[in-house]
Amino acid sequence: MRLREDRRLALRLARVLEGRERGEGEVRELASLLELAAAPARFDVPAEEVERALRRAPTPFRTRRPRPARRLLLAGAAVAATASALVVASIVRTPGLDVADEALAALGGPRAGLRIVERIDPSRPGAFTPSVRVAWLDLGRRRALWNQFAEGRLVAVTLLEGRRVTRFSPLTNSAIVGPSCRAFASGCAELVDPVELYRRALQRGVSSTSKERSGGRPVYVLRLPVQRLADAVVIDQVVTVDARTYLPLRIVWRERRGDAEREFAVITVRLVKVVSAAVAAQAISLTLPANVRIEQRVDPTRGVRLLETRPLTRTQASRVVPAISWLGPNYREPVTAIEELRWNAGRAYRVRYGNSLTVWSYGALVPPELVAGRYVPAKSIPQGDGVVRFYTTDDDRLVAELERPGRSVAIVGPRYGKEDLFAAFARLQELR
Amino acid sequence: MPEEFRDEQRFRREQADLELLFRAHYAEIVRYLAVRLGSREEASDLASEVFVEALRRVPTLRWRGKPVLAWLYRVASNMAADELSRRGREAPAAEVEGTAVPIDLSEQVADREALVRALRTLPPDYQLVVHLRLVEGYSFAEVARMTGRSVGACQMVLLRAGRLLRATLRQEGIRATA
Repeated sequence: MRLREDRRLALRLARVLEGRERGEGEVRELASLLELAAAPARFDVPAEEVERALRRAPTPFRTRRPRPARRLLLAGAAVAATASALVVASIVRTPGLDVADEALAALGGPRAGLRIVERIDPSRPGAFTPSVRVAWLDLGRRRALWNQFAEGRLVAVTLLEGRRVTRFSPLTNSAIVGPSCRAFASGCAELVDPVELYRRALQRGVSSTSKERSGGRPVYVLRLPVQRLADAVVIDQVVTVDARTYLPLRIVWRERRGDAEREFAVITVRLVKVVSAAVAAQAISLTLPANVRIEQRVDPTRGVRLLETRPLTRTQASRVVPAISWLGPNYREPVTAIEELRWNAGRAYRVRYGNSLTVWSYGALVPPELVAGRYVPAKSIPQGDGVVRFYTTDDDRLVAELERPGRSVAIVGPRYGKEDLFAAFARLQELR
Repeated sequence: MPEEFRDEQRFRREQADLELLFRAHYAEIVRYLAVRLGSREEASDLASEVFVEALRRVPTLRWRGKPVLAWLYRVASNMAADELSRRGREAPAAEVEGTAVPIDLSEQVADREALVRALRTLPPDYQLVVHLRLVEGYSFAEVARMTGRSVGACQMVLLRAGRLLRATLRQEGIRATA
């Protein structure tokens, strides 16, 4: 009897620790204790330390590159055979591994520094704003820097060092620092470089290869194995590679959700150049202006637990510092609730307008339910002195977020379109 | 592709590329050892030794349904036990540096040092489950695969770990409230 009760409690404790329920009594007490006990161990080990340790390790630590198991070769052969029967356009079947080796070598191997200029377009027009990114990658040391341009303006400079992310917004002269890409509401989508993702996939081998012609020149079309990304989204890639230089020309991303699969982004690689580690190291630096505002963020997916949801009166809400953002007492519908949500790592405020619109105000912790779950680049639109990012959450709600130090704001409108949410931003004001 | 096949592929890949293995898992082994030993510095040293052992042994491992990481944790746990035994004393309850998640101090009823000390008194297999689930964020299914237990058994371990923590703190006169 006792065992059965303990099993029930263990299950409830697991659910509380996963944030799926709030818990009470003993379960809540134990969850708090375990969270507090585990928190000090969640420290970051800098990439530099890993590299130092690796250098100290006995040589040769690195062994030969992995070759796919025989079963993989057989599976690849089966896919290739089916594809060749169906695709008449395919001219020559080429051993995938040979092309993969050449393609990887053209990128300087798995750890070389790279300079990349790429344009990212949606497969479905309007799904997100096309953007141009100028990137420096030194993934051997887990460092990268991106300058992202949208509508002709530099909207973000992002520095990745290990898992730590610093995003500087020149338009607001502010910077947000997070322990991982998950600390940003729009998630990891903007922080994985397509060419780097392709390079990583190459190391696992190629599912199938065909030689074709594109733009008057011979190319290889590589289909790469599926990859599971940080947001638990599965994508696969079809990459067109110059048959002469073996450099990538075009990358198509296809997202898999359950049994469904759809193409969602096309990356045109305008420049990819192998650079020495020293050059990459020099280029990958971000000097923030002296008067920049900096905010430290928390990863909302690691050990964050909701402790309390408390309704506020309008008077109470008006005393919150820094001020809560809202759209006034009426915005198409009257305000139905103002709430304070408290997690073990921070607070946020939620103003609800009926069932159709919610305005969130938050600081160091992005409310977990706002975190994007899809691997779709956020749509970034400069607005005034900031950048509004649009994205969809795991449960397909549309979110518009204005990221800024101190008090970021997000408007969630399950029944609203992008234009409506963008218009709502114009009405944002402080609740005083 | 069946999940087991993917796991086996990953196992083979890590087995064949120890540099990849090192980069992928060194940090979490350091975090695990830092709690076991109570010292961040010693954790780094011992983690390096774990990987030296990996260099020798991983290429000869056979696929038995568990990731290479499970083997790394087992070796790290054994080495930590040897080290603690060699010291012949409890490791000092040093504060582990670099807390990533700020804790709402109003919720923190237990003294932080006592809590860290209490965590280190848990049986090693309890510490491992707490670490994998709450520090590294692996799902219960993944924790189960790595520890060779069922999901339900891992959940029970967490319950018991929580109760042991509470009991240890009470012995020190610290009472936790939810």
